[in-house]
Amino acid sequence: MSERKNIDRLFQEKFKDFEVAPQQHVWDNIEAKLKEKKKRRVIPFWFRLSGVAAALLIGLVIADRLHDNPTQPENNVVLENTGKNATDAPKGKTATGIAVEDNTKPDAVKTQQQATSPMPIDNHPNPGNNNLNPNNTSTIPVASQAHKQHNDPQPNAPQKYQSGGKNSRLVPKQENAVVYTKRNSQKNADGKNRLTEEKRKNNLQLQNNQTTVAENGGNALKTQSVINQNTDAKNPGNTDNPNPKTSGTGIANDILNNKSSDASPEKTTAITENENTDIKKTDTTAVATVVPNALEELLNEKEKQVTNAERKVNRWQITSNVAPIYFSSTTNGSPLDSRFENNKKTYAPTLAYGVGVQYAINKKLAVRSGVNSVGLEYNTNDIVFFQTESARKIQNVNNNIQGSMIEVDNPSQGLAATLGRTSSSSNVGRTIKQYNGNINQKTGYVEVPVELSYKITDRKFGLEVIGGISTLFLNQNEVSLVGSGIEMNIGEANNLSSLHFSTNLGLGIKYKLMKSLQAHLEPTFKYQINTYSNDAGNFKPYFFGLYTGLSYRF
Amino acid sequence: MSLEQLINDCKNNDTKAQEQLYRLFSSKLFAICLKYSRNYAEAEDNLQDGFLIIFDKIHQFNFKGSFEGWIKRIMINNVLQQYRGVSFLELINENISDDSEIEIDDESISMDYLMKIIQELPDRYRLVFNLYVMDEYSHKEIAEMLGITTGTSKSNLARGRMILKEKIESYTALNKLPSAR
Repeated sequence: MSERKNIDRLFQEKFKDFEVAPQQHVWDNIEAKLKEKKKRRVIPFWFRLSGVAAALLIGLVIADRLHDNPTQPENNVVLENTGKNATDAPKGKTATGIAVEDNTKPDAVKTQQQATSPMPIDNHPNPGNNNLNPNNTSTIPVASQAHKQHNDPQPNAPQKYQSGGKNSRLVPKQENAVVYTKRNSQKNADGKNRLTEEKRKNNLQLQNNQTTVAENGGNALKTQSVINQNTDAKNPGNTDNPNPKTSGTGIANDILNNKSSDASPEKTTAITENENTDIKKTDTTAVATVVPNALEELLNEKEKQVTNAERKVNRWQITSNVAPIYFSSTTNGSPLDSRFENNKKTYAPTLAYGVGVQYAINKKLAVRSGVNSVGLEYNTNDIVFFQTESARKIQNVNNNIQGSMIEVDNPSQGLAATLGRTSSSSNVGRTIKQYNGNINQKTGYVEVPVELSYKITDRKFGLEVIGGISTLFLNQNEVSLVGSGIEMNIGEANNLSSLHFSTNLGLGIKYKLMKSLQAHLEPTFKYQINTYSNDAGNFKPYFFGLYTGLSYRF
Repeated sequence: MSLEQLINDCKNNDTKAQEQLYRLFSSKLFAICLKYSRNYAEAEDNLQDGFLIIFDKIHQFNFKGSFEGWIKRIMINNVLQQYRGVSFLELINENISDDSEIEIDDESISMDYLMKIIQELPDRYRLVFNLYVMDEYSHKEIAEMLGITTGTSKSNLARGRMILKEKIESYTALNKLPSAR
């Protein structure tokens, strides 16, 4: 059965599909390690969440800063322009109107420059077309001149604005000329028009469109105001020129437009008689519908930006808070000592106060944070305490000198029992008094909440849901005994975490006092997590606060 | 439950799913561990560590390529991690006879013995032999994985082969009368 074979082959064949089941204990180990990992992850989960929230907050602050900056220069431009277009201002235009005008101007500049300066050839076909129509030849030079004058001022507009007087006189003619060229191109090449209609990138058509927009726009009642502004923008001479005839240039423009719009239908109808009507009809309607849409979009965009800017103003809000705090536990344990687990606890109402800041992400949602000082206090009732040199320690209290000499117990484990237990000679012959009283534990925290609030209603009365987490830093830790006429500090608890968390859930009720000032009442429930570093004695604390205060928007 | 569903559950740290995945692949992966490790106990340790890495990184698996290939690679890399650092005296560029032909009776050699002699190989030889012969990596890939040159990889492979060959020959000599040619 023997054969010579390559050693590699031998191993490959033998170990092909080789499987060995590992023993059970391997999985047991893996499972144990996995569980350990899961447990360890409980706290990092909170850390991560708060980290995310904090990063979000910081990011928003930065984003807001960055966002503010580009809008400011934009506003400045608007202001400058209104200053320059001094005659525009008295027209009583709204802010949006100015903004639109401002926006359309550079657009017009762009398209015109595209159409004319880089491609001078484009201008030639039009005059060429016009030449076919003998009536128009006289107007062409004027038109092209007007175009040139028109185009030149754009790069250094402010200077040329002054010389706008001349231009304004040319404008009606120019517009007519444009109408002619438009018509001519229609007349000459129906197919071409169709093509150009589809390919509006074509420069020639762009130019035509750009100019006919003005006229057709003037016809289209819907977008008349926008178009007026557009012509304003395109003919800086118009806007700047103090027209002696009319009181305001706005009216002058209207008249101009009316003129041209009056003129163009006549002319177009005249042509439709001459030419086959179908194409032209579709042509004119196409221009009338497509182009105003673009302008409307611009208008909408501007309006949006304006409203955004308005809203942005009120994104930030600072708040002050004062809250009565009701501390309690879901269970009846004792974090001090298991001896006191069954003793009755009374929870003293305390006060929390602080400041907060809120940033509105959108209309409904806001992130908030702040700093609060929170004090928590409760009493373990029905205990007895007395002085003894061999005092039994309270499990989770680091006694001070005073405290180390005092034993605290339940009445059943009181003085008599202790004397029985210790029979210390030092106790003999001394009168030892046993006091009835309470153990009072006070803790204080600096609380840093990171929360999200969601507005349900937002009118004069507002209602919102609040959820989030708080990080609490321990800054007060005191255990004292309170008896009849006695109160003394006996030490501090040694099982309190220096840092713990709470999950927060609340309802916010708002009342607007003024536009930017509102009062609020926020009943909030905060369930504490990881309050005790080790033995918590089955004590699961939470607190309930009625946060009231004022907030100011800016 | 489909494998995809199982993997997704594992991504959510579902303990049941993790156990099921373990049951599904542990035999195959343990075979790899046995080949690459020095002995049974170390193979168990490596299997355990490897599975912990798999569960830890399973969220990175995005269903491109075979899952089995993916976990095999993790397991092999994990084992390499264990033995890569162990250096030993190098003897390279020595002429080693390329005669890896061996006269052998297939049935006469037990799996246990083959496993034993693989595990007994010096670490580097064992890794290279396994990677090249069993898992069909190229010398270039092996060189990258182990941080050595391709020349070292080749010489390690040849030396590993020689040792295995000698052991098999002595084994057949011991257990069987030399068969007539």
